[in-house]
Amino acid sequence: MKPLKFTINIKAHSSYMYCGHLFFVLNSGELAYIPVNTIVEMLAENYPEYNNLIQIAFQRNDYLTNEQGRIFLGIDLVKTALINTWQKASEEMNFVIDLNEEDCTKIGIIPTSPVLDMRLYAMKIYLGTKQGLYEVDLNADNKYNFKPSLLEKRFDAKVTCLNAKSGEIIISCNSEGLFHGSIGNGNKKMMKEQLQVNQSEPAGRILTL
Amino acid sequence: MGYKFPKYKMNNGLFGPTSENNYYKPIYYHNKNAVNNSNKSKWILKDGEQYEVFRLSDEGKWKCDENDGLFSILMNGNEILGQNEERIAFFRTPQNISDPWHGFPIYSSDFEPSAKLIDKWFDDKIIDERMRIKILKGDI
Repeated sequence: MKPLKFTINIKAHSSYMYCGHLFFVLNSGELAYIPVNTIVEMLAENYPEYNNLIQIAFQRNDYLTNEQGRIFLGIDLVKTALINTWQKASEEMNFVIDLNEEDCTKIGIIPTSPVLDMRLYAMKIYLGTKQGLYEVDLNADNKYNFKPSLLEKRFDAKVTCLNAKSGEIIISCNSEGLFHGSIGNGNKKMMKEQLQVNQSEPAGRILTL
Repeated sequence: MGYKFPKYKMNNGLFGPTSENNYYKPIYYHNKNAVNNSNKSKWILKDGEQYEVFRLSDEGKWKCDENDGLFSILMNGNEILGQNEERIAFFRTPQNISDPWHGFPIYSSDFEPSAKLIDKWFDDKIIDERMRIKILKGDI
């Protein structure tokens, strides 16, 4: 089956899907997010004839591979109807919704533009900009809900690419070097210290994030 | 190739002067017919077209103090300037003020234009937001 195409019209130049939410760097310079469920509801409202198909497309489809899914899709009529509807939608439809900035929850204004790279990891947003690395803690109250903190600067040099995995963040600063640091619940005082980039040592270690 | 290059005549091996009273001298080892040299990038532009790239940069004051030279770009980076698809050119400031300039195509990852110059290009609508990000990241 071919993929379904969804287009979201919004004045933004970066986006990232994480934890059931879609995060945007808006053209206005603000960082914002919207739950994917809200987007699905808007799509279903705009395209009522494809309501169920859209909801299936956005669900975790691991049930299709379990025993119940195998039996359910073993009914030829059900399987054929699903495949035909999906195929028709994938070939004929481009699902479009218009999102306004007001539809999104704003986190804060990014002090500099443009954002050169964006990653979400361990309930934190990392934004690479020409003036350094900024971080937002999405779980500032340490409960299972989104309560984003204010943007805080973590690194001074221009960050062109970044990646986070296995408790570490890697930052590329082009000719100034490649840096890495640990992500943790480290001492906040340490975070406020800033590393002076030394060109004679192009690879180094940043402080605990 | 979408940029309409004006025709310029060489005079005593030099092009110019620009309105800033600077001259341009094409260097043989950067020209497209030169023998391949891994240390020297090569234009795909003719001599007079190279001068036009320089003239825009010189008259636009696209100076970069960090690299001590001028950078240039045509048509939001859609015009390819070098044989390896370089889209930016660099003209190093000559040692003597009366010397002619010369330049060559570069990648933004090898010669990083300063953020100040990239912001100037963006503010003057020489490049759009997409190209601004690509240059800042060293992607072109």
